[in-house]
Amino acid sequence: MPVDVTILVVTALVAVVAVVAAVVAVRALREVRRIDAGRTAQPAETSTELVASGAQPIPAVSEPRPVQMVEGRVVATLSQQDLLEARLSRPLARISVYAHGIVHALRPESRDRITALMRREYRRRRAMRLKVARRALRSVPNEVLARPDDWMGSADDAAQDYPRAVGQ
Amino acid sequence: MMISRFAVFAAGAAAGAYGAVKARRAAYRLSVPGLVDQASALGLGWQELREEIADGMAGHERTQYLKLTRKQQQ
Repeated sequence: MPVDVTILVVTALVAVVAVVAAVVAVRALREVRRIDAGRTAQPAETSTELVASGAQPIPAVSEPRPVQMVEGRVVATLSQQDLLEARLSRPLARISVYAHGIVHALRPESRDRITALMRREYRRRRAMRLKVARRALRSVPNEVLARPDDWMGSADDAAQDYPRAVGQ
Repeated sequence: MMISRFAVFAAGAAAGAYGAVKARRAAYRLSVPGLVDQASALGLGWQELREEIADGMAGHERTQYLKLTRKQQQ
């Protein structure tokens, strides 16, 4: 294999690794921000839900848990909160949660909402571009656009680039 | 006869105008600014979809949590 091809392949691999690392870093940062936001917003929401449903919230354990030594092994007593979290973090429970999230996102109403949002965004950007292009076209003086002695155009003038609106 | 000619003319003009508008939009879609706009709209849609998925997951988790809490308290 020639040297330049080898260098190209190595560079491509490094680029791929860099992109993957950047994606992982951005995802981790988003996750940290989401967790921080959830910590500040969660207590009030959970308490209202619990009150509405009639269930009592399980108090979070802040004090150190009793630890016993059984046959030379350290055994920590689990609180109800730990048991709940363990049950909710099982693979099947996680898959079920993901599936419910996807089903929720693909409901007709949210699907239509997202599609309409995308269409609106595309049209808004297109209208903005056309508006800017028209304004730029209007700002060009008429003398620049006038071609008094060349009414059919020629190959020499093809290189001259006149401002045009986008899409025209 | 006259009416028929006029109808054909009107239909041709309408079809031409319709086709011109459609062709112009398609040309914009395939241009670089159009592709950029579509990519931007797609990104926005993807972000919204992820938020919807996160909402659905949070709702289901909350339901499961309440169900388990109630079961433990009984």
